[in-house]
Amino acid sequence: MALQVLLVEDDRELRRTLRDALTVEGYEVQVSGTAADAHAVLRHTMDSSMPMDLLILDLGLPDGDGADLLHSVRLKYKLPVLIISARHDEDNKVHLLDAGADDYLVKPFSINELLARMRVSLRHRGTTVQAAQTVYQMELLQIDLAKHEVNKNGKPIHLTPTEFKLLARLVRQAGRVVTHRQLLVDVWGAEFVNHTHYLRLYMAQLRAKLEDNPTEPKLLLTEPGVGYRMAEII
Amino acid sequence: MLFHSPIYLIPTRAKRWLGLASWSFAWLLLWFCDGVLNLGNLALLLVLGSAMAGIWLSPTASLLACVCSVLMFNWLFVPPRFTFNVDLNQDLLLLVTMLGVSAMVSYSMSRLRSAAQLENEHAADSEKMRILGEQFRDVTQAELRGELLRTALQQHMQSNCMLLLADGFATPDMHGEAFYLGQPDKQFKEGLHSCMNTLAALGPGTGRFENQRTLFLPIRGRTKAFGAVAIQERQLAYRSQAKRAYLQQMCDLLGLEIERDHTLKQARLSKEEAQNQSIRNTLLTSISHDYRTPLANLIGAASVIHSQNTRLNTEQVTELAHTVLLEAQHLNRMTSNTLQLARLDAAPWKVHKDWESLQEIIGSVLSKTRMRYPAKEIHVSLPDALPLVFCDAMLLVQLFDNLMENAIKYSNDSTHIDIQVSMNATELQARVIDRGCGIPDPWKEKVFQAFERMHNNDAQADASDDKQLRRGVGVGLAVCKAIANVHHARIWIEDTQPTGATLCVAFPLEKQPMLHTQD
Repeated sequence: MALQVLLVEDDRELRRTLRDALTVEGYEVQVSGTAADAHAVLRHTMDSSMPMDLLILDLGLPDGDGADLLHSVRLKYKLPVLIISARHDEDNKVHLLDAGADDYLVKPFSINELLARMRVSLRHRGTTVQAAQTVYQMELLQIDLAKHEVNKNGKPIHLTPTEFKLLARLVRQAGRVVTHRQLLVDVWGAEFVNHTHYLRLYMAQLRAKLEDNPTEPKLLLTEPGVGYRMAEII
Repeated sequence: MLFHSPIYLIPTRAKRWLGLASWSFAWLLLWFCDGVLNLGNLALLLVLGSAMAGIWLSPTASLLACVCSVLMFNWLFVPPRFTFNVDLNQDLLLLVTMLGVSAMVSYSMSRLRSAAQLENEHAADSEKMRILGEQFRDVTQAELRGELLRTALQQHMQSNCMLLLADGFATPDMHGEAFYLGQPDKQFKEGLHSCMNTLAALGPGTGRFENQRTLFLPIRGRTKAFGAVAIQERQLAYRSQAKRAYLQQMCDLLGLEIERDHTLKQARLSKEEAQNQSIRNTLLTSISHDYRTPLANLIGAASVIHSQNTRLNTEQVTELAHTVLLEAQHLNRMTSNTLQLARLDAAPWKVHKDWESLQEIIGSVLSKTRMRYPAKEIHVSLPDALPLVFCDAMLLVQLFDNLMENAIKYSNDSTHIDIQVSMNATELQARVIDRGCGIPDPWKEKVFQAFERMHNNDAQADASDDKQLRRGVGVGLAVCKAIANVHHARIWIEDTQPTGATLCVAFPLEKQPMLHTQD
């Protein structure tokens, strides 16, 4: 059965382009141009036999901010939300990620980028009920969070407790961006929320231990101004 | 403030005993020295006592005491003693001089006192005025300010005051919405309006409407009146010119304050207006300079696909679609550069700085660039453990993205690009080195100005692929410069040997944040 996607976007052209492109990729797409309509669609479908699997949400809607829709969706449904926004405004992006959006894309974006982000969001569908990812394998690196083991090229890598906590936090949501704030709160504690420099230094240490070339990381990716992302397992 | 807290010049009841004590002391001395000193010297003691007593006693008391003393001195000490008769002429002169000196001392003291009193009042008045001025500055609402002035006037005059305040921001000859404080009746309202419109005082002592029992004063700014006050007469105090001038001064204080606010608001508005204008100008210039060519290519390619679709083979369609994509990306980059330039121009303070790692920033730009230009060789050299930079990550990403994009555009596909970061005692320097045609000296500064472009003429004329690529650098380096500026960084161009350009950015080293390491 095809995956159900609700696309909320007020621009008619973009809505049509995206709907066609997603349909070609095999998704069952429903579209909404307003927040009210999106609410109605969600009310109808979420309790039906064919609930939505993913919500793609534009921020600037004619009848209210998409951010408000995000908040109410987060309260009611366990539905991955992918934000698409023309606002090149990091604060807003970060704010939405902190508020529970699964990922974001800044317009203009290519369809390939959108499809990649959708795949990641769908893979993490329901992480709130299921166990988060605890095993990660990428090329010659293996991470097993349960066993507290990190191996590279078959050799164990020693990580300090903080480095391990930081890595674990990223691995649990591999493929998805984790904001600076989320990392600082979860690894160091709420009082460290403004100590971004801790992150910089520990990320540098982690990269030095895990990456072949720390300047051009393949695993621990930087999202400038937003946070970090563990590369999605291919 | 000598006069502000009068200690000895103003006689008070409590200090009178000091005056009496000095008299008693003088008489005691006189008693002891009788027979030891001659008459002239004894008289001097008395003059001293009288002068001292004058400090603490009122002029009348002092004069009375003086006359009594002279009489007693005459009775007790001047031969023949115990009579008021005076034998010698010089003794008589002595008595008269004594009386004269004592009277003079009393008179001078009283003059001094009244001068001090006046000074004190002035000081208190200016203090009141200062406090009132501060209060005006602390509140911004017109009603509250009016109420402050009204309270101050009422306290000062011990009588009822009414107040009219008109909208100060209306045009000079037309007053906007007006409001009253103190509930004046119709007659008072007329008086207040007339006073405000004529910008002159009315009422007793002003020469206009002398028979009125209410004083009307305008609240004056430099150019116009912002309202008026009416002070009902209970005492005749403000018939004095000085008192009225003081009241007028209080009113003007409010008037000037309103005017100052108005001026500040105007200045702020015109600054914002100028900023908006500057953004508009930048955008317009950019659109007319740089947007036409890519738009023309885009429309050309898209219209071919749209109308000749059936006659084209798949390969041609793909190629045209690729052109559309490239031109759209080019427009996108130009748009974000132009917008960023306008934003930084208008509000350079709206930058979100945090501690960032140059390695991460360059790394993320690099990964995007490699994706865009998979064939291009880019060599990177970064020292380990670079200090952090306090900057806006997104802006720096844009800066390096522009530098790398330019380096690639301006060099041959066969040559490689270098990115080098180095550090000295004061700076963190990043260099983007290409091996293209280089930038001649006269252009090394100019390329950082918006809409200056080296190949200005041939870019339009020559549509070969090589030149095609060189379009639209205009805003790119200007944005880099603006971004460097908000970070107090330097940006400049050096020559690459043997040929090519090296774009250098130097960030000042900053004191690194504290780290309480746990492990």
